[in-house]
Amino acid sequence: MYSMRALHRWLVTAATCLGLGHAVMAHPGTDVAIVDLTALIGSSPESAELRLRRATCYVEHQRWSEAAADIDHAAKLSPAHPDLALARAEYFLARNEPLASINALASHLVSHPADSAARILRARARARSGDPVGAQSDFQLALRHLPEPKPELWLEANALITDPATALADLETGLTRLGPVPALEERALKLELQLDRIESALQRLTRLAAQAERPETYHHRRGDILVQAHRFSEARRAYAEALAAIDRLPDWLRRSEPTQQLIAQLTPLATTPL
Amino acid sequence: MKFPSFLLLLAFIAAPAAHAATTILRGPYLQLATPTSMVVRWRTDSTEPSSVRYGLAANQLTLTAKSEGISTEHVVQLTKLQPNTRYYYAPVSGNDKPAKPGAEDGPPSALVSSFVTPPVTGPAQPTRVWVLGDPGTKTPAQIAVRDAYYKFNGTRTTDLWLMLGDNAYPDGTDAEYQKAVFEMYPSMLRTAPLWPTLGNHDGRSANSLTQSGVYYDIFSLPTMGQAGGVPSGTEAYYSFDHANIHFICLDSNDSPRDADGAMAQWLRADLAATTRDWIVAFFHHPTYTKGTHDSDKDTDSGGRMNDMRANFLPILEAGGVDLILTGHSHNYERSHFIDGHYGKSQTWEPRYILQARDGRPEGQGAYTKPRARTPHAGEISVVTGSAGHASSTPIPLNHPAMWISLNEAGSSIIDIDGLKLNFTFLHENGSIRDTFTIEKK
Repeated sequence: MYSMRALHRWLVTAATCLGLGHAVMAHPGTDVAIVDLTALIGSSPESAELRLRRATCYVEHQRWSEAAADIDHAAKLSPAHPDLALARAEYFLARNEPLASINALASHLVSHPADSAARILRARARARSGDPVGAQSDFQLALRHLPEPKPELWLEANALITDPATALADLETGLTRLGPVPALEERALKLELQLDRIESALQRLTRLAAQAERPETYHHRRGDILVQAHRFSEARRAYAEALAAIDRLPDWLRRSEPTQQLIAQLTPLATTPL
Repeated sequence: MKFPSFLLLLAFIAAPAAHAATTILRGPYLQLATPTSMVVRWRTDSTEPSSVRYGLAANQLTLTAKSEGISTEHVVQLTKLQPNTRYYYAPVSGNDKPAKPGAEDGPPSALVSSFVTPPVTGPAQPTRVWVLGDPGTKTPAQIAVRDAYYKFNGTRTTDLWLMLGDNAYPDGTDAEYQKAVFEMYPSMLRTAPLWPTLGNHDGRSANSLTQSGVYYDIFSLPTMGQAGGVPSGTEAYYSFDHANIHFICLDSNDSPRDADGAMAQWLRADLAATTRDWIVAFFHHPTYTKGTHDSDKDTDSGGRMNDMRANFLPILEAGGVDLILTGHSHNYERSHFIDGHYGKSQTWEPRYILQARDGRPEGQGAYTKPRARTPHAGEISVVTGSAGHASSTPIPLNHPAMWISLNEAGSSIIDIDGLKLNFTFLHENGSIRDTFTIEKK
C-alpha cells in the first residue's frame, strides 16, 4: 500500500507538470526540504524512502540529473519499493515524456488497479500524449475509487469529454455525488445553453434559487436566458421574482450598494415590455 | 438532583469492569457545530461501537446517539439539539456504559464534558473566537501561549476556535497531531468546536486532491453547506455560520488557486449568498508579510502568497470581507484598514489605507464600516502565526501594509458583539500587545 505522503508526492508533481502546475500545488519550501532531506539521508544513507522524497523535490526544481540519480539509487537500495514506479512516472511526465511515464506505470497498475494516485498520474500522462479516451478511462476509474472526489478533479476529467451531451451527463453524476458545487453547476449550465436546452437551464437556475439564501441573482439569470429565447413575458416575471427576493432581504442588505445597483437594473426590466 | 437520574448514574458506575479496560486515546473533540447538531469524535485503543450519552445536565445523560459499525475512530453526530444550549455528553463503551462517569455533583469529570450549541444563525450573539496560527511545535512556547489564553479567558465560554494551519510540526503526521493538538488542548477540544485550515506542514501528510491523509482523517468539515454557506464539495475549503458571522476557510496550500478555478468560483458564490453581518476569512498563507516569510518573493512558498493576494484578495474585498486571518510567518503583523492592494510591497501607496488610525476606541478611534454590505469598504489583515513560537532570528517586519508588526509568540482573540468586532493579540506572557475595533453602522 502507498502511504498518504507518497500519494501526495506523486499528485503534486504530476499536477505541476501538466501546467496546472505552479498554480495548483507546487510543493512548499522544496529548497528547504532538499536541505532537510539531504541531512536525513546523511544519517540514514540506506533509506530508499528518503531518496524518493528528495527526488520529488528535485523534479519540482527541474534538477533532472539529481532526481534521476536519487531514483536510481533508491532502486538499488530497494528494488521492490512500491513508490518506485510512481517516482519514475512522475519524473518522466515532468520532463514532458508522457509515453515513458505511461510505460513506467504499466505493470504497477496491473498489480495495483485501485491505486487512484497512479490512475490520475497516468490519466494526465495519457492526456498529454494525445490519448483523451485513455485518459478519461483512467480518470473515471480513479473517481470511482475515491470516496470523496474533489470538484477540481471532476472538472479536470470532465474537460476531456468532447461530446457536450456526454459531458453534461458526467457533470450530473458529479453533482449527485458532490452536491450543488458552483463550479460544476456553472459548467453544466454552460453546456445546457450550448446544447440549446433552455428548459433544463431554467430548471437548474430555479433549483439553485430555491436552495439559495439570496436567490435574486439566479432569477436575474433566468430572465436573461428567457430574453435570449425571446420569451419576454416570462423574462419579466423572472426579473420581478428577483426584485421580490430582494424585497425579502433585511433592510441593511437591501440598502447595500450592489443591491441598489441590481434593483436599478432590474426594475425597468421587470416593468417595461421588452 | 432528581432521583431517577441518580439511579442511572449509579448504574453507570456499577458497569462491568471489562469495559473499563477501554481507553480513550484521543478526544473527545467537537466538530462541525451547527445550531442543532454537533459531531463528537474520539479514538479508543480497541474497536467498539460508537455511542454518545448526552443531556442537559451532567447527571442526566438520558439521550443516546450512535453511529454504525465498530471502530477505534469514533464519529457520532448529535442531532435535534436546541440552539444556544449547553449539553453535557460522554462517549460510552461497548455495552453502552460511560467508561468514567462524572461526579454526581460538582463539576463534570474529564469524560463528562459539555458544549454550547451555536445560536440560531442570523441574529447577533456575543461570540468569542480563539485563533491559533502555526501552533504545533510541542514546545514550551506553545504551552505558554495556550496557558495565557486560558488565563485570559477564565470561565467564559469559547464559542469556537480556529487553527490557521501548521497545526502539527514538522510533517503533520498522526503522531505529531496527537502531541501537538490532542494532548496540548484536551479541555478546549472537548468544549469548543475546532475549525482548521491546511498548512504546508499539514500538507506533507495529506492530499487535498484525494482528500486523504492525516488532516482529512482527523477533521470532519462541511462539504455540503450543512453549517451554513454554499456547498464546496470538498473539506479542503468550506464555510460556516455562527450567529451573525460568516466564516470562510480557504485552502491556500494544496488546492488550485487560479482566479477562475473551482475554489474561486465557490468563494464568489459563497460571498454573494451570505446575509451575515460579519465576514471572516482564514487560510494559511498570508497576502502580505515581511516576517519569517516574505510575500514579495516569488519563490517563497511556491508563489502561494502571490496567488492568494492577486487572485483571492480581490474576490474577498469585492464580497465585503471584514477580517482576514493567516499564519505561516511566525510572528504577528496587523494591517492598516486597507483595500485594493494586490501587488508587492514596492507598489504600496498610502491610498490603500482607507482609515489611517490605530483602530482603538481609546486611542485614535475604531475603524468604521457601513453595515450595508459594500464592496471594497476595507478590511484588516492579520498574520498571527506565532502560537507555536516566534522567530528566533531577526526578521524585517517592515511590510508597509502593516500598522503593527511584532516578533512575539502569542494567539489572537476575536470578540464580536452585534455590530462591533474587538480583536486582541495576546502575548505568551499574558500581556495584551495589540487591539483594534471595527464598528458597523
